[in-house]
Amino acid sequence: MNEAAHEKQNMHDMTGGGTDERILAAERLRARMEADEKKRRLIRRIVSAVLILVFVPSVVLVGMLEWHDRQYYIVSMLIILFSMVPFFFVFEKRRPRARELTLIAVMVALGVAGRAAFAMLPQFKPIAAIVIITGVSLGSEAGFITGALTAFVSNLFFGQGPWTPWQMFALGLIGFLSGILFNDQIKSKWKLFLLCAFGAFATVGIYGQIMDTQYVFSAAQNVTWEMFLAAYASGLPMNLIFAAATVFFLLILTKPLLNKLGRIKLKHGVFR
Amino acid sequence: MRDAFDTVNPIVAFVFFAFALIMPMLVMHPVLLGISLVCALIWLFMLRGRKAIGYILKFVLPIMLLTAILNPLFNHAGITTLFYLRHNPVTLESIVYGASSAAMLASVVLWFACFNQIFTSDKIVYLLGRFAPSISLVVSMALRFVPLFSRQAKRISYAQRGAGMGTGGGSVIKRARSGLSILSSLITWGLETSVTTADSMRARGYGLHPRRSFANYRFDGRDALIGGLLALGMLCSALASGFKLISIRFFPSFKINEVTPLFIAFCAIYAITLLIPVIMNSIEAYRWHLSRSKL
Amino acid sequence: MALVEIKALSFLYPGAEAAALSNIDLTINEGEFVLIAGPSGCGKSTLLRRMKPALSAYGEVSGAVIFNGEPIEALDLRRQTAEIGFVMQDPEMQIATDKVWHELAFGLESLGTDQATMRVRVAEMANFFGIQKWFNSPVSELSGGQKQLLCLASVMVMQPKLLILDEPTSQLDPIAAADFFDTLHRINSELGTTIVITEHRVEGLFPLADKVVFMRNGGIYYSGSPRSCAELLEGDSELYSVLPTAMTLFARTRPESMKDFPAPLTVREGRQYLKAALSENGASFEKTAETGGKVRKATALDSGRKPVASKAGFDEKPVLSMREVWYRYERNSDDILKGASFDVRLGELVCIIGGNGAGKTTAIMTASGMYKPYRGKVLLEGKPIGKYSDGELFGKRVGVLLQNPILSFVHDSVREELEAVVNRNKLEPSKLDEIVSLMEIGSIIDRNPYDISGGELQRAAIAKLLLLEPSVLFLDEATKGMDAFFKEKFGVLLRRLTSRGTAIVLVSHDIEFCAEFADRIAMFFDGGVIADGTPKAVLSGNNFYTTVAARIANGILDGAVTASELIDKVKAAEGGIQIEQ
Repeated sequence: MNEAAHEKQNMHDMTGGGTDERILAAERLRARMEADEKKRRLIRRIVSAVLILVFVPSVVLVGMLEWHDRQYYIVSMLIILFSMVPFFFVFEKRRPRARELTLIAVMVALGVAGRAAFAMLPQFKPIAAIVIITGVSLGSEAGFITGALTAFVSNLFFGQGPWTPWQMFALGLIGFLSGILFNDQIKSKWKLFLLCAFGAFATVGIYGQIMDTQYVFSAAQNVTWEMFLAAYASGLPMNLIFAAATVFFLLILTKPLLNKLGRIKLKHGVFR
Repeated sequence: MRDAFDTVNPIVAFVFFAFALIMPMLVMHPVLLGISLVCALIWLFMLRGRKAIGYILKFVLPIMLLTAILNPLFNHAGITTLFYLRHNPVTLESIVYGASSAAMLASVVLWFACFNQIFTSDKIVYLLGRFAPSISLVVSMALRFVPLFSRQAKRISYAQRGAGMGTGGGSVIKRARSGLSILSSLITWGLETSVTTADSMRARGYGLHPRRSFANYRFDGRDALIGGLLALGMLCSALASGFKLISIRFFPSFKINEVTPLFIAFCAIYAITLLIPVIMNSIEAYRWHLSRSKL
Repeated sequence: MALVEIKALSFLYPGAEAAALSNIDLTINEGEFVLIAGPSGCGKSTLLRRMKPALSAYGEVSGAVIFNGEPIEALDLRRQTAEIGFVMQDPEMQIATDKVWHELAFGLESLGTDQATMRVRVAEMANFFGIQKWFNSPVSELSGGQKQLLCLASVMVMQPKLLILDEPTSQLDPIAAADFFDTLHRINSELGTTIVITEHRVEGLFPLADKVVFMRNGGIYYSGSPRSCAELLEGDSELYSVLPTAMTLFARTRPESMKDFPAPLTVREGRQYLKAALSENGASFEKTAETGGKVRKATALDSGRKPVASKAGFDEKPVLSMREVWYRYERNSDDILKGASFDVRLGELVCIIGGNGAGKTTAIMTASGMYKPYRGKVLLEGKPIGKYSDGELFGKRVGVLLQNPILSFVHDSVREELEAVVNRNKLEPSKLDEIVSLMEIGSIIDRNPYDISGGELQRAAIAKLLLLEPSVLFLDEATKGMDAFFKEKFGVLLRRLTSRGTAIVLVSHDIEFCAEFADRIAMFFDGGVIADGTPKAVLSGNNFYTTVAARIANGILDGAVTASELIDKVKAAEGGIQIEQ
């Protein structure tokens, strides 16, 4: 035992007999807590993946088979609502950490407040781009939650309506898919191009389509193909502006935002 | 003025809105739609006064018109053809259906307009908190961050101008660029400081189980009374549709239930249920009037 | 009984070379009020966070923290939450929810307290803190001081045994800070809660503390009663800067014959000491007071307009002048500026002081051309400021740094931030190096702006402005949250800039700082300038809105505004030399 350590020992002896024991106990406790935390995180991830990938498709399928001859509007809305339940359920059940919650809340608020920064350009909003980048960086689950809640919170400011569940589902789905299709290593130009292409598809093909479908279901009982075509055609100009905005924001924001999110993830040990 | 329905327990209020919203979607019966539309309109006027007119002209009427016109144009089902438009039959049934679905959409939108006035973020956060505490917390945080970020965005734009890095007006591209650098700075700030929020939540025990939401709302005798009335209204609706008291068919030919005393009685019950907020407001106004005239 | 025992605690952040904490031994007894002081980066925050495992950073730990007789790691989250409360620096981001009532209930919600108890506890705390009036308000409508009180209340609602506060008032103005300290005092004395606090603003805390701990380089340098630390710190000049003014005065000027005099903590005690010390030494106290009074009158008379000589000479024409400016935010809102006038000359450091809502920030926003006044004139180099385009004005002629300098950073490192300015304005790369060495930010240039301390950030933000060499620099609340050491350094740097010919307008609540470094002080009240002159002229006449040193000296040794001036005067008086020379 060297001198310094000896002195430390002496000091402990003077300050009370049990102290050394207590220091050791404290260290053992710390080690065990860290190991437990790792195990818990793995189990949670497996459970959530199974639930989301199996439960959602089956709810939609059952809904379509069982209710096809009743009224489209209420049925479609119920399908939409029910298909979102497992996402939220899994998220609730795994009891997310405070840092995950705040990170998601920040992304949601940015999506909503970001709209204000570009208020002078109608329909030119960063919402979809922010949701996509969130999905890419924080994973599909966080992507879905961020997307759905962005729509919900945005409507708390601008007014809820029958469109709320549809918007939630559409944006949530975009976030979910971007989390599945991309990982946060968007380094090459090619990958960025792919992401932008996805962004354009997501706004026109997913968001636009879902919202226009919502309108058709709300207005008609005997839906026909012409109706869908007419609705899509009338919605196209707005959807195209939204898509252009999304591509624009993705081109410029993807790299810096992924860096920043990466830094936060590393610094706070979340979403890894 | 404060609406009398504003102080009703959020759970009861939510059930009311759910009933008011789902009924028109479920039963597209012209008479019931008319009742629903009128009740929603009266209440909306009580809630928003003259502003309601602008809202109706701007949002509700266009949706109604579009729906009423589009249906007969695209939907050719029905047996009573009125005339042909470019070789496509326009049927009476599809016109009636178009009008009904327009009324349905309008009443849904109007009830939502009332909902938006009554269901402040407090109540939504409270309701969500009972079923999904984490989601409710994210919503509450986001609600706190949105005004904060907006204010911060303004500060950032001043800060950048003051450092000679602003663009200050100019072309659309210039403004977009300036908006972008504000957004980027805002994102950084929001992400970096969110950790403080998380820490302070942790410090106050976030993550413990079970979490219990604080109810800033009470359930009192009045809530029980309203809840009872609502339950009665819902029960009657279920019975009425179960015993085919209300039935409607649009295609291939329009067919509606006969007008019987029982049907009229049900309509009255439906109207009274939907008028609960309006009745509450009227009673309150009358009582104030009384107490003031006594003075 | 000891509530917290810290035994041989050392801590090393992952990847760090030097220990953040080394061999800390500290005992905190139940009901004690403990103040931990020390310069930024001395390990205060790290130590506090070791007392709250939910907030402890990962890293190499040795030693132990014993809470209530057991190792603190053994406390599960539930007990930790209920028994140890923690309040942090930033009131804004500590609040998680959007409504006051929800925030108050947050901790109890976590603990799963039943509805009835929750209601009572929340009501109780709302009463104790005087929150009932804004109980149903959204958080976004509260002032900074109210937000921090809310943070405190939302912790106290769980009735913790130990309350830990990490620089809780660094973002608050002096009045709000005093309110906050009063509340802490009530919590300590009326509820018996044990309090551990770190703070740069020691002046108001020394009288409240039972124990003061000084930390330096991760170790405890001194720990004992606040009165006795004057004894132990004699001869250590570095620590003077973190002592209350009365104590500094005492430690520096106490005559041999007054060895047993208790160390003064407050202004009142400081005055008692000063009187005693002066009469003890035979320096004619009566006479001093008399002449002092005369001097005061004289200065008060000529304090009106006369600008003081600065490096650039005082008869020079003002570079910027504001003439009877009126401003309000909206057509129907109240006036914020009501005929405010003041001048700024090149090479001058002008400080704007005044209470909250006096219009200080609005004044610099208007003077810099950000806001347009609806009446009155702002002239920059003789030309109305509205005539300049944004490009001509901002950056090259005026630079504005708002509160919270972090907001002016976009990039991931200080260097990138500065290079962006250099590239955009096509400046010489050597300019960057020059400014970096001028502002002494070489050591942090490659760091992320969010990883550096407040004082360094302030300097980096100023460096960014200086690249374009503006002739007038506006700084809002620049010294907020800085410790004494950084403040001193910051003041010296500002003087360096004025000697290069830059004019600086600084808005500050920190009267001590203004008194020490300003050429001129403009005091704002109700939208106008009510006093304008040298620090001495403006501050020595005031009774309340002035430095602590002036309050101690008022009527006894007039004319002293800063602590060092007061010490010099006392020393001179003790030496038997007449003050009036």
